[in-house]
Amino acid sequence: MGYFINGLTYAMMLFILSAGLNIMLGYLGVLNFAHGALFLLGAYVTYTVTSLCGNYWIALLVAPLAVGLFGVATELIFLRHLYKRHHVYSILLTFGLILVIYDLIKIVWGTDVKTVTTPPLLQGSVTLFGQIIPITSLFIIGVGILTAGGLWLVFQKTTFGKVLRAIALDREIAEALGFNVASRGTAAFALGAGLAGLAGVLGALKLSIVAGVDAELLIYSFAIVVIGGVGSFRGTFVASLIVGEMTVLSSLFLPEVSMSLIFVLLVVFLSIYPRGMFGREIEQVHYPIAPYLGEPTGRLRILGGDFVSLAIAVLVVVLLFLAPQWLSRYETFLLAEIMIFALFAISFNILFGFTGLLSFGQASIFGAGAYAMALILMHLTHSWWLAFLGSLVISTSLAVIIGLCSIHRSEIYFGMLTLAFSMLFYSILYKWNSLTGGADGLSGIPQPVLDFGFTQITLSSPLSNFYLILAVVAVSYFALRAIIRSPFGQVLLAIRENPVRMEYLGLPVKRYKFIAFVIAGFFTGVSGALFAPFAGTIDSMASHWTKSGEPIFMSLIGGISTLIGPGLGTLFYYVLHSYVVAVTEYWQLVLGSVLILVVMIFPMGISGYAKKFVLSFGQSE
Amino acid sequence: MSEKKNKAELENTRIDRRDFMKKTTALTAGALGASLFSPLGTTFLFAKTQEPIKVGYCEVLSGLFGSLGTAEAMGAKMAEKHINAKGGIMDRPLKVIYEDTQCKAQDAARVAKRLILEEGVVALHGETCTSVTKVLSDVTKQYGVVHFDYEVDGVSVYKAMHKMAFRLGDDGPTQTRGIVCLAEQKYPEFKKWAVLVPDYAWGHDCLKDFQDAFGKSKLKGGEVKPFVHKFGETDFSSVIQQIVDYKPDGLVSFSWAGDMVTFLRQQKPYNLYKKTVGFHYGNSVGLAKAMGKDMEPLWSGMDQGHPSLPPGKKFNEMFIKEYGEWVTEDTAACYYDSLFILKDAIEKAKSTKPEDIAKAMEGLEFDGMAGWLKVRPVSHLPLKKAYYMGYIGPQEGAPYWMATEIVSIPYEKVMVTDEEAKNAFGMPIPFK
Repeated sequence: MGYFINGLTYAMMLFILSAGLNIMLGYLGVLNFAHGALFLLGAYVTYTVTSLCGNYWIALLVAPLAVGLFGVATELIFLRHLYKRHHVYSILLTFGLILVIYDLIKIVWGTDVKTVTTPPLLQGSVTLFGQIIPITSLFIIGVGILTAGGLWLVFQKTTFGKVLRAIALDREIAEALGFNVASRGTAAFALGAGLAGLAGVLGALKLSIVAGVDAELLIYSFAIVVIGGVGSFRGTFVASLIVGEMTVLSSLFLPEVSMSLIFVLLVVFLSIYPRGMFGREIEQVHYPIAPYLGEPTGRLRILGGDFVSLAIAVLVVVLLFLAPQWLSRYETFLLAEIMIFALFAISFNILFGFTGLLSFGQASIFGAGAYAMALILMHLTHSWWLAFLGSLVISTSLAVIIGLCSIHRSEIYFGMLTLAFSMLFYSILYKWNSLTGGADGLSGIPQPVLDFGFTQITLSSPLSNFYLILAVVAVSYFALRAIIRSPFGQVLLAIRENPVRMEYLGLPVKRYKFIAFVIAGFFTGVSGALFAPFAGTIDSMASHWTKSGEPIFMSLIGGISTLIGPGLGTLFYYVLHSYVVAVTEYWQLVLGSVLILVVMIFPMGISGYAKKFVLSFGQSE
Repeated sequence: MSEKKNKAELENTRIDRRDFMKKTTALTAGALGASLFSPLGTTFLFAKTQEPIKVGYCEVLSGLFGSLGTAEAMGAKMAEKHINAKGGIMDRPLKVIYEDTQCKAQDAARVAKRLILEEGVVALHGETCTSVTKVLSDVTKQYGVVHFDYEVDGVSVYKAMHKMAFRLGDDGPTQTRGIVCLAEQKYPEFKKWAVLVPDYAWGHDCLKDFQDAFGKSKLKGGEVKPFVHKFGETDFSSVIQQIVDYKPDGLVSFSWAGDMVTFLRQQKPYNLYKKTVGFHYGNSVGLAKAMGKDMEPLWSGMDQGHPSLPPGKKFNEMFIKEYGEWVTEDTAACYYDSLFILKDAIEKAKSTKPEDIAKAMEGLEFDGMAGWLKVRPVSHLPLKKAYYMGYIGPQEGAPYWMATEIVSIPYEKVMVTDEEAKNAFGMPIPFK
């Protein structure tokens, strides 16, 4: 009974948080990655209010309102402009918001762990059926049930709710019928944010208030929305109960796999029944990416003639070859790491920029490549060739598995399914302590030996590592370049812009997407295999879904319309990250602001604007 | 037709760039301004132009464990200020470069290499997370730079130590033995022990150390049951319920920072600490500060930088003068001391070459804000006079709970000996 009530308490807190997320996703089509940060904001406001006036009950009113107002500002300034863009832009915006909110919290509240004193009315416990039940638990359960009832009333019985449902079903028709869609959207987002704030007030009774505590709750909320069904509060309620109870009971009965269970459930639902228990598959309006890349729809061009671009690429490789002569040791080291992650980002962009698939699962494939390389070098052989080959077999196999399961889902569902796989893989790495070193990962990875038959090179010096990485990345780049410039690559571009039309034309779209996923996975695995011996360490965070955010960021900054764009973005990211970290501890604020600016104002990225410039020059001629 | 529609859609969604730029520039400028005028920002703005002796400070300054690293950085900044106010080191200013590792080993490797290769630091200090400490040890070994730390770490870092690596904090075995020694003295009748274990190297190392120490103590014959939770746990209810059902006599915790605060909060209605005696490995100031009057009474390991002990009391006064608040973590004093220890080593060596500094560190004695210590020449671990356990409870005039009873245990009784470090924990001594 005690365990059941504990599960129920956790479920109700998750329900309130997830209901907010569901409003944003189900009614506005926004997958809000900053929802956890809004939860945190609610908890911090609670801390401030209770510190100032010593009254939790005032915070219970103020915090949801404050976070709701923050939601209004976010919607008005940023999100409103993104509804009619490809969904990836709103996702990326919320990514940027997470970084900004985290550092704003740090500036305002510092890094100290905060807590809120439980009000006298909620202190202590009662005994039910011989079990101790905290009064806070009963309070959270009560608020959860009231919230569920309130949401049902709002969405079923009020005009506001009915209009929102209409907007969710068909935004354009609702607009045509004269509804003020924009203001309703703002109100819906505010309501969603307010619910995150309310969850934050309740969470403040149970949790330490510190950045990072929201990470797990966010992932659970995604799972709940998917399992319950997008747009369904009933589904969210039931799924919250399942997730809450499962979390508590599995850590009792199946502690070794408890972390993975939720992601297994998520993968199963997304693969087999994406509508969830009570939901609907959200209307997936496909907005083309091309107009924001400086390419009018219907005219997809790759920059320059083959000879010119090939000459530029060769020149870049030559310059990179000579770079250690001019660069300092650290810059050479940094450049080597940039090349590895440039390959990671370029591989990711084969999926995103060229096929229109936003994957959050690439980190798992990167991690598979890196862990496989590390483990083979540590336990089986020091031969670079064998270890590299082995790691590619393993990482590509993982790509095939994820691809087979995910590719039949599109848009947001594809993103969430790959995220679920990423977290499932992460949880395996985390728990398989004897093999993977658990959360601490593997360190002291031996330097491999590169055997050419006639001579052997031990990759112990930074320079030998640099040239090996350059050689592998260059070969990979030219291979990807050839793929993108082939008819196959052109088909991928066409699928990115209009998959439905391509299907009507008789193209096996899913098969093309799958092949693209495996190709991207193969080269992601290559980057992972290069990384492990280069860094000498690898830990489970390399496979966390947030790591998949890095190539997204790099691609967007560099420009997703060119093959080299993500490479440029990686360079920009690393230089910015390396030097901003040295200048200010608020580096997340800088990175987040840059990401938001790119999403809102410079969607073409560095290479996109360069391409536009060259194209316009050619046109004027 | 469709192209026109597309264009019209684009027009509708196009942003007024000027308007948007105005808003976002104002926001970003405000935020960046705030960041630049923060304490770390001002270090950057008003950096000295003389040729400084540079030290890299790698710590977790953000996220779930950021509170600990930030508190320690405050101690280090005070030391930097005080050293420079007294003429620096060998008439050269000391410049400490603070970098956030985020407790991520891979990022830490890059950060460490930047500090060594780009900044030319003579030593790296850090860090709180065991996995990161291992990486820092590997990197400093590779590049021949002094690696020193005054934090607590699991013993798994010992394998990665080298001739220029020094660990001055009380390690996991020292702290767990401290708990066992105290229990032998005060609670020999206790039979059932619950151990709260975070699911990563630090937690697993400590559990093993505790079981080993327990098995060799007078408590032998009792039962030790681990209760494992994951990093960043948000729901301890199942663990708490299991501990309640287990009905332990003693509850030992190796969780820390945000995780431990969450645990303390969630167990409160169950009155776990009224039904059992709590033992915490250390770093109790941060817990007591976060919990406020909701803190629970428990025994905790204490660095001498704890404001309840004489050296820490003095440090606290300095801290209040500098920051206007009581120390936020007892290890802040340790981090203050560690820079002075480095200063002494450089002055003793009369050189800033890392190998000379490392040699001078061996056998160095230092009496500071975290008490007296001697760097053992063979294992590079510390020798101290005593290990302290304090019973944390409310104290008038203090902003957070302090030690109301202090038990001193001879350090030799709890420390890891050189032999043990080599044979039991794989430390590669003598270092080559």
